[in-house]
Amino acid sequence: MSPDQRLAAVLIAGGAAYLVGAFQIGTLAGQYAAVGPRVFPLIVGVGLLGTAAWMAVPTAVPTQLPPVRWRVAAASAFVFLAYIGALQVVGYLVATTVFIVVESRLLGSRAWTRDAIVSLAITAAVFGVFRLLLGLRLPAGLLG
Amino acid sequence: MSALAQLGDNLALGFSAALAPLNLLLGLAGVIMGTAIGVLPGIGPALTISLLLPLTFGMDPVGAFILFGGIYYGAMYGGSTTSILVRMPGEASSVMTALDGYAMTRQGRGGAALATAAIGSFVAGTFATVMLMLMAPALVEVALGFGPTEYFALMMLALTALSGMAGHAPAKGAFATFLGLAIGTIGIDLQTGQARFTFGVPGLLGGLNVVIVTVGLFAVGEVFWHAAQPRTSGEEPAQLGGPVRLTREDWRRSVPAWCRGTVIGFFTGVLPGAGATVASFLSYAAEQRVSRTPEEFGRGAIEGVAGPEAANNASAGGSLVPLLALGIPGSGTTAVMLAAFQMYGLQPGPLLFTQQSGLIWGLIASLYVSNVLLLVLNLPLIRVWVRLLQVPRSLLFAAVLVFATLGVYSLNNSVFDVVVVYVLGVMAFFMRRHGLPLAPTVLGVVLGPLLEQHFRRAMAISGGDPTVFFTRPVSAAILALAVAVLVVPAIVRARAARH
Repeated sequence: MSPDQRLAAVLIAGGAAYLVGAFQIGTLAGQYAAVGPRVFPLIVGVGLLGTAAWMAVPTAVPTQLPPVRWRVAAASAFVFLAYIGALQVVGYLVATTVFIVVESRLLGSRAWTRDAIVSLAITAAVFGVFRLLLGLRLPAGLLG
Repeated sequence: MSALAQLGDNLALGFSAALAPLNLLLGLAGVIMGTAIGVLPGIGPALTISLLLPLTFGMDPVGAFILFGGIYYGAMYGGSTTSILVRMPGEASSVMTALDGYAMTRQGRGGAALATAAIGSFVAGTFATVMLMLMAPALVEVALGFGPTEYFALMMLALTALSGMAGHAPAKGAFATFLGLAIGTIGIDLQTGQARFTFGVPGLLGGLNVVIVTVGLFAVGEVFWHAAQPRTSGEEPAQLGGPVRLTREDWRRSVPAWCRGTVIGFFTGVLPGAGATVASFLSYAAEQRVSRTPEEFGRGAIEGVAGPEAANNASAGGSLVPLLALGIPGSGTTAVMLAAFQMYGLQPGPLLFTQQSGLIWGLIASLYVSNVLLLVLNLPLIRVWVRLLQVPRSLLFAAVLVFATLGVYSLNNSVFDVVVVYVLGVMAFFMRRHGLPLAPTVLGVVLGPLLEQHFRRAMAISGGDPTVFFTRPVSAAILALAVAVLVVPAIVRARAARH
């Protein structure tokens, strides 16, 4: 199977799931609307299925998937998720300072001291703009 | 009152808003930020405006749109600098500029290339704003007679046109559009109160906020994608070489190219789907065709810089015409701007022109101001812009993730929203890997709920008769156009394949 056909298989499954969901939207008896809440999602679901199936048709120029550094991608996705979790626990200030240093190291930076200084500066600047200037709330965590 | 006097009144109103000290400052901040993100590859106007949406929530809408307008125009300009000096286009719309711009730099004529880009952008931006000012109110007059049927047709046209731009993979563009429409159906149906695709999650009842969707797809997805790319290094920054000005010969060759680029760019911008990138390609092709020395192109022809740079700026102005007059965006950036209007509870269109004329005309007037600011600021600051390239990519991307997270969190103080952004970011990563365009998805999310609303209203008015879309002449004509933008490229491709 070509990459496009594998993709199409996944998306057809997704489209089918959406269509099943669309059929489950309840319609009340004696509803006033000429077009109920189900019609539009049903059309969209058919569209999803149809275009996903269309993708399986071989094209003149076969798709070549661009190279990806999977380990970096997975690690940075994981670190970002950990950051979202850490915001809840240790609060904005600590989580952000640590996150910027760790994430930029993942993305190839090797300048610890510079990153730490920049990280503190960004954290402080965001705090200043969000909290002090705009009066928005930042996650305080258990420590805040 | 004559139309001209009316225009004068509106402009006076607009300039009094645009020149208010705070708004002037916001316009300045906008063009500086816009130029900076234009210079930085991987960060564009759609991403930046979506990151700023949560922060501007509490601001006066006039100021916010002046900021966004400055960013949009600034980004179109900023992409040229690095294209010319380092052959590293900051935006897709500056790819054509890199061809001849960098060649000129290698010949020690980088200064002339930068000057023709800057002056051309100014000429184009100013002309496009004049056209916007004249065309948008005229379009509003026409649109006053539009009902839900016509709006439905217009939105269909915007969606098919943008999805048709996916080029050699039309199935992917079409799927991306339906994906956006599907995301848009999540939440309570406003007409009947039925929950749709909420899976019992209370956070989904209100639907996915467009701000969250744009931040997830454009900002977080973009960072995930660039983080995973094998590292490439651009060309060494070339010496600027030569003064930043045009010789008499340069002027003679630039002026007609600017004019052609401006006209091509503006009208390409007005059309849904075709944005700044297409405008710059068309302009480059046109310059090559009319040139008496086409063999010079790619080897440092100044027209190859002057035309596309004028075209991408003019297209930004053009794309604001359907956005402001009809409330219909035709590109990723204008879709995010529509999301911004919706965030303030405003729906662009004929009504907004009459009810919020201060806002509309303030924005238009500020575009003139932005253009002047860009011309005055950019040439002296070119060395500063080039130094921006030394900002470490790693820290920049980490900072974008922080901004995205906190901005979205501060909307509702909700971690659930941040998780949604994360999921959308991962989705955008895989979409990019498989060549699915993101802009149609965002447009689908923004327009989907409106499309459905107009569809159901039109059907309610017609008593459930679907032929209403084809019997009303304006709607029928627009729908025919919507079908044409899908079918014609396919036929052209099929013919090209046969030869």
